[in-house]
Amino acid sequence: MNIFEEEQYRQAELNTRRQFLRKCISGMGGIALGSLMGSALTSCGSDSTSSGLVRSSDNPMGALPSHFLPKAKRVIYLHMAGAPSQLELFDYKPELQKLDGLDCPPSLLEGKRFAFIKGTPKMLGPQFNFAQHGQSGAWMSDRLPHLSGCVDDMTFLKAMHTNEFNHAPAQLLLQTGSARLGKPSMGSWVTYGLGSENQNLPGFMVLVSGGKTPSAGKSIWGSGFLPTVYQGVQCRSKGDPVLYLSDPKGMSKALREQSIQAINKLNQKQFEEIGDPEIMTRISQYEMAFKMQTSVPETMDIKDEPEYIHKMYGTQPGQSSFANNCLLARRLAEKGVRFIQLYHWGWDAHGAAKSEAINHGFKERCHEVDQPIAALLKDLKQRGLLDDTLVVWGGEFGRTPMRENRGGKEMKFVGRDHHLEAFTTWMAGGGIKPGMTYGETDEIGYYGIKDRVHVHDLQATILHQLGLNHEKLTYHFQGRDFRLTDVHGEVVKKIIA
Amino acid sequence: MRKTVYLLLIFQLITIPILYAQGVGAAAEETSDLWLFIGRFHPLIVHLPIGFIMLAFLMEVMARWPKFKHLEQSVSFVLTLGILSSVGAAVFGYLLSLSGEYQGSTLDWHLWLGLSTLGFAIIALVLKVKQANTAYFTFLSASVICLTLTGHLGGNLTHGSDYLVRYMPNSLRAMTGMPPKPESKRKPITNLEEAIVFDDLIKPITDNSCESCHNAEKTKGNLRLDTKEGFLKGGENGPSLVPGQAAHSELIKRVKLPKDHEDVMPPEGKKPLTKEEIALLEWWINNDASFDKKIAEVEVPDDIKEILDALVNPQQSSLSPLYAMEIKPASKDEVETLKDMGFSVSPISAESPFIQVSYLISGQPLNEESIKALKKVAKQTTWLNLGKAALADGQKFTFLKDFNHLTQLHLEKTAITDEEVKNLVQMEFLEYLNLYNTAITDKSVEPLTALKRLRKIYLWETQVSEDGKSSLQKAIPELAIIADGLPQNFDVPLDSLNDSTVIAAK
Repeated sequence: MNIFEEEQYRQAELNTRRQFLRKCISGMGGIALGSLMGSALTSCGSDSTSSGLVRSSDNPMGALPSHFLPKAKRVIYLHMAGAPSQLELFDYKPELQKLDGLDCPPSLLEGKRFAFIKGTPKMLGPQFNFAQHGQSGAWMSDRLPHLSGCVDDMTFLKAMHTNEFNHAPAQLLLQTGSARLGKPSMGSWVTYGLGSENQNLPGFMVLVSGGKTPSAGKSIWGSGFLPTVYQGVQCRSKGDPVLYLSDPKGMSKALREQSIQAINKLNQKQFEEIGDPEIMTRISQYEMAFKMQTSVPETMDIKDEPEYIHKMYGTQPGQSSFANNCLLARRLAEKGVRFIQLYHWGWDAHGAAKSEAINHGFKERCHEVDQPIAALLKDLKQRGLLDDTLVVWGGEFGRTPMRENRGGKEMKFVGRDHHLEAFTTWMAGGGIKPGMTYGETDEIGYYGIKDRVHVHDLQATILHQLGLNHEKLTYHFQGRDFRLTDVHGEVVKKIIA
Repeated sequence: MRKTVYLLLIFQLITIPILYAQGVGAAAEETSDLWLFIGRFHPLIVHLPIGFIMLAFLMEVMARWPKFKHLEQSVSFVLTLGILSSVGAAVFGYLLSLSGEYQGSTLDWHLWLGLSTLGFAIIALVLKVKQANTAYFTFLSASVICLTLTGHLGGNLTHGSDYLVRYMPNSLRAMTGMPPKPESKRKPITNLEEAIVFDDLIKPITDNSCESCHNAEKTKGNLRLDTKEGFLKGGENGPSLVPGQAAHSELIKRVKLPKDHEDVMPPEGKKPLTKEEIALLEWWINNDASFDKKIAEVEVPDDIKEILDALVNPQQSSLSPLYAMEIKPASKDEVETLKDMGFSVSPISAESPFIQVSYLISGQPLNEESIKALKKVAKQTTWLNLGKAALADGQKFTFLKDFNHLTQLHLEKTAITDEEVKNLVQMEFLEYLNLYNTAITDKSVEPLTALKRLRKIYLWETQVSEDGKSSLQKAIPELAIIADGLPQNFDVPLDSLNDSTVIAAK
């Protein structure tokens, strides 16, 4: 039976007397169940949720107005997975240099938990030279020579802190607001709240480089309890940009279109019968997949960029690299994609191996990201996109001012352990005051001592720039309203232009 | 009458153990605590006599109609309850007044009027039993009048004397012969340097958040914050502030306690002070808590400066005046038609009738139909993104002349010509204009100079010359012109990377 016959059969099946009776009964059951489940199923039917958003189920990605006037229309989030050392990049601590090689005083260790540090570690001074740059005089190490030319467009949050000292939970906390699995990611919340400007591309796209998926796995761009249409779509910069996007062998584009239409018709009937929003998600994903067959390869093909752009970013078409992803991020921003999430793995510089030592692997990571990020900022600025695109850079936590001594022994390479009390995140564009440094850490960069910003505050601020009130962007699930920042989060008003 | 005796007995049974407990010789402090504890039930039980006596009066009035004749028989019962609960309220009220938190003539009036209520009610009951109907009703009415006045004064004691009429509309005030509403308490500061720290910054905060419980009539914790002396004198927990040492001042300690702490001020349920208000208080105390220094005479750190600036210019927003304009929102049909044509349309925010429209579907030129649909929402559109959009044969960008409410306009990578740029001159609200990679020349500069609100323009990869740019800059000094291409020699020499020294390589 081919797919057309199947459609006819299913259609006929839907119109028998038996079917009619079944519908009556299951319909009643459905109504009862729906009310019992407290709208876990029905809340995306065609509803006005408590967030004040009116989402029609047949257009889950349609652009919606924000709560208030937005400064940014989209976000490019450059997540440095593995957590880069703030002490080697932005948070310059000359005092720490003087303590280099001395035993860490017990007062810093009491009651603390570290991922690897055992016994008494030694203090470790900054490993690279620092200098002030730009009119704002921001400190930056010599590892980021290109980016140091952009400091007047950037705003540094020097006293970020988090609750989790292991990668996976910390990444989840940063990206989903909760250290446990199952919550929607920031990009999902944003696309749920605002939809997308471009109906031919997913509203939330994810680009991964560094050879490894972040520790928390793909759930950090998952949609949690939101309809799955809001989950991030991962694109690859090598091979097929999206897996299984091209037509299967022997299937023409016309046939593919017809079959998708047929499947969607069946699904539509099923939806009318049951009302499960996941069916709508499935329908829109089929449609999206079909549209993406042309829109994605066209967007993801960077070959048509002029030579000077490639030189500026350091891109090589066909490669899988952070540079390529940065260029893609700009292209996606131009196309109106709402949330563009980049992950670059490899920053976990413990010093346990050469690849993860501050004086080796870390240096390479810096080299990999420095030029592309600087190029991205300059390119966005040049095209008039930085005005309404918020760029966020950061890891999931920071690194200790102590040298890691895994197992209590001095290690062959230089590295630092995970640290949740202090790290640096920076933002640019999207209505953030440029050229500003907010927050301060103590003399050795161990604690934030002024204007600390928790990851929930960062999330609240990002939503704020998009015109969303993080306390109002909620979704009713399992009997209560959930939000990205849970019950926390305060917008960092002082960095807003 | 027997019933009355029983009820009195019950009341005694409740109060005697308490009085006894005092007699047994608990420590003096303990006792006064106990009285205060009981006294604090006063606001609770006062509502009983209010209810009962009012009800008795109402029943008496209603009983004049034949339909409610039967109510007459119950009036004595209700009135008796009213009297008994009045006794309770009076006793509890007296105990509460012992705390010293409430003082002044209002309290005296409250006391005597309350006792009058009780007295008149007792006389009324006696007259009722004696069937002296006219006199009875007179005394009942007198009791109700006293009750009303007592209740009002009680409310003034608890909430502050202007509580009831604070938000009375001016029209009503005029009718009742009251002076018009006082101007908002924090009178706008015009000259920051000349403003007096205490009078213009601190007093408004304490008037708003402290004064209602710490004044002459109601003096919680024996502390008055309505006068300068009150601040210095402090209350039962010692001085409220230590000039020069905010961190050691009780006032600051209390307002900074966690929200759910027992001793936090303002207490639970009242609006807490904002971070800015606390910062101002600390700053004032750290500067010797002076009552007459001007802002110019004290040191103003950066964070205080920011707060002050925000106070002086509360509406210092950079928002376009356009957004405050009221217009008719676009109709649903108009929006749906646009969406069907491939436009993305949504309000710029949930509160605004203005919309943002973008056309991001590449390869689909704008034809007559889609331009017609777009023109229908010309007045509502304020952000328009036509970047990279192609026009179908015979179409021109002249349709833009209707869009005089635009604040942002993307026309980069389009075929717009100098002739068509002239259609932008009416866009008096335009702030952002993107024209990079177009064929416009210096001929476009003259019409663009009319856009006085323009703050950003993208002109790279156009034919606009240096002279053109500088005359545009001269016409609109605040304008940022992004006209240079990207740096072609972006590379940092590689050896500068290799050379950089590793300070502490071990």
